[in-house]
Amino acid sequence: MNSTRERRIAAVERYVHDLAIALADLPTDEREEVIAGIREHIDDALASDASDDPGAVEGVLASLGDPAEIAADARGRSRAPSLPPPPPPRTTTTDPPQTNAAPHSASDRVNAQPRRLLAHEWVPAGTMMLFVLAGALSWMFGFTGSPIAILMWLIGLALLLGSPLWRSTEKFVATLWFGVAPVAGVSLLGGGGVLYWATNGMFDPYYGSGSPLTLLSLAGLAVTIVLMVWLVSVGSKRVSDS
Amino acid sequence: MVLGDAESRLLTNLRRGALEYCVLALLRNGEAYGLDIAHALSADGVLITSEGTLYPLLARLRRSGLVTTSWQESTTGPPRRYYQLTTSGAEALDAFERAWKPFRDAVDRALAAPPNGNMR
Repeated sequence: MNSTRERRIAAVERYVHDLAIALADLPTDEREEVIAGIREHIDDALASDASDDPGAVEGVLASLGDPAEIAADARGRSRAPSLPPPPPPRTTTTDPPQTNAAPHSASDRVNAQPRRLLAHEWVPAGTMMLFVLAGALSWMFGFTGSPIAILMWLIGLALLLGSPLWRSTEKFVATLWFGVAPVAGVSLLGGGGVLYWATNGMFDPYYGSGSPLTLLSLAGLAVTIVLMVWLVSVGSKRVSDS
Repeated sequence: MVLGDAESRLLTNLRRGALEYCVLALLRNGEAYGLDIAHALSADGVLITSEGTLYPLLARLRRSGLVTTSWQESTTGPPRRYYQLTTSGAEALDAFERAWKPFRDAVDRALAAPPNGNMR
């Protein structure tokens, strides 16, 4: 497999993904038409570039511009069209059939809504909150002893994986720590032992200060905090794009 | 071209009105691919700064019936989509040109007028 080609494809897919999120509030068929046009532009531009220059993709994407700017332009056009209203339906195009002339149909609203719900500004912080609460409950009652903890954990994972606010890499890392690790025995807060340590004062009578288990728990808690802060910040930044 | 914020906003509004007709004008001489339209418009950096903004515009033009798209088979690669002016598009472009030229001349005259010029 040619890894330059793979990198190209990955970079393009990332760009198109960001573009799709930025255009989320456009009617579905309009959004797909814009994305199709941009995909064709990229394919055309790369096809005429015979070299394997890895910078070629970046060049094309850079001249296409920031997805947020493209979306702002698209929205501006929707609000203040300077073109005459669409004429009565004509034939003689070979495009995919356009089912209605009205810009917003009921089915567009239904399709856009679940996406918008998961892109809402409360989603990043809310997801992490669910993990924190689930972690706290599981520390108190044991992971399998609290069905509410399990429920919160599952809902958190569903939000994490379903929301368009995070990219695949971010979702992968987050799922490893908040999804797989708890199942493997690491508690949701990265080491329930640290809470035991905290409530017993500076020195844990059972493990002793500085014991590897306590240090591991501290390290785990640090990882959890860092991951949560990171996920909330990248996720929240994308809310305004959608 | 380096612009301050105020000029950028002004230019954005001016662009929004005229850009569609510039696209139509490019198609007056014949059909074109999206990539070619994008390159032509972005060449001087005045009409568009990011080529991606062309595509929402093309989508609106197509929906308004001013432009139509077709596919051209290629022996060297996948089929490519190209854009063509429709009759309505040509008419809209003519109407814009009839309005634009006097407007442009009037603005130029106003900008060139000497201070305290003949306003009477």
